[in-house]
Amino acid sequence: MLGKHTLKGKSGCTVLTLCCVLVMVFAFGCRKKEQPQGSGQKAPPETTKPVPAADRVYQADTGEKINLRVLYAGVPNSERAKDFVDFLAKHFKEVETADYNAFKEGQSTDFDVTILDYDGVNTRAPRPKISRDYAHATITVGVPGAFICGNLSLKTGYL
Amino acid sequence: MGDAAHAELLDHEVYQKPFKVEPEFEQRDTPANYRDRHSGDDKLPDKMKVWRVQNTGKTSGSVVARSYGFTDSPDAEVLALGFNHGKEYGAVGVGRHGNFLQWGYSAPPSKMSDAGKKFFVNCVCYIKRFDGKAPLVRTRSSHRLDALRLAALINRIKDKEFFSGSFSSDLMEKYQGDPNGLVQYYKTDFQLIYRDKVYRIDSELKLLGLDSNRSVDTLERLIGLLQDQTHADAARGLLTRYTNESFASAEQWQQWLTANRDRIFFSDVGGYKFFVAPKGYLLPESR
Repeated sequence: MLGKHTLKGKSGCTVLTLCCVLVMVFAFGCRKKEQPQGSGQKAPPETTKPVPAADRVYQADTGEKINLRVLYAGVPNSERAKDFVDFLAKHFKEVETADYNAFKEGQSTDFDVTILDYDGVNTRAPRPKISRDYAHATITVGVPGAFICGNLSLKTGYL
Repeated sequence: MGDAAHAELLDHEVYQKPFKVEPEFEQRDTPANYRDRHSGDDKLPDKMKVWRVQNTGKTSGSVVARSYGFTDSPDAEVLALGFNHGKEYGAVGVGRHGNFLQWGYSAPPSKMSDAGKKFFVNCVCYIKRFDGKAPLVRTRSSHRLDALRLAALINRIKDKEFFSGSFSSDLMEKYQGDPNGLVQYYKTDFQLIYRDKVYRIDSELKLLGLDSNRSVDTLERLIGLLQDQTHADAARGLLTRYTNESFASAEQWQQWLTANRDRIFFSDVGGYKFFVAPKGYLLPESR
């Protein structure tokens, strides 16, 4: 493992914010909206449309970190791994690392997206063994990534 | 592939959210390899509009996947065309096949352009939607466009063994020294090309008056012909060639077609077969 480097969001703040919101809802949320008398207009029904889970990740414009758990499997202690992890941690709520050389597909289970990255260019990079049943959302990077895809007979493979 | 991507496809949602990717464009000379490998009748422009995904300053080091047949199954899509000096125009710099997104660029984030960084973050978000959606087909064969590409090379590559997996010895003899003739042979019946050890034209389909091996209408016609004593055997043989199914009766074939028609697709790369996408697999907004 790459020193299991966990960068979680400010969960304490989130709980506090939720409590505040709940208090405000109880205090103000049940008041009936006043309608202008004689206007003849009816307020539109207050329907709430649940946001599909897959769409919730697209809320980064607010400046909040994106609500995804990302596993970066790279080369331990390399500048490149640090580069990627620092970048990912700026954007995603949870980023953990794993050793590319020892990657097992079961490690993806607890993450939304796995990134498999060696060095971007090496045609002789090791290729993690991944079965054809593996269906976790995954990004492969550069030449080593193309060879991983090739091993899996994917169209994204190197030819 | 170097640092750049072509400017096409920027209207895809992967460039829109969560970050709007707004690249700075450049005009680059059209690479010579694009012209060499161009099989269309149109002429490629002298300059092409590209944007930098990363800033390594190198013209190689990153990687593209071949474009031929990349999108012949609904589980795959091109997200960025890689500007490259080795393969064809249209080769895939960033692409998705099932739950895998291949980022063909080599640089770490600190060497990505601002637009490249946003695009990468968007790709992480985008591929999440395909969690659990393993590819529907695997690469088992090369696309029929490869027949044309290779036919054009029969004079350039002297080692005839190189073509033993592409063209029959009869065809090689017939078109010896005549690549244009061989290209035309395949172009004429392009819709009937399939692979059985080499690229072949399906003369059996042609005899039945069918002009494509990859149209669902053809599948329907073949199933209909199972009721016709004269053509039933030929139709059954062709259904075996082009599907992975083996129903005993015409009624079963018809039931299968009726139940799956909207989700049937043909893939050269997947082995020149019709496949059925499982219900709920396709995300309408992703295509």
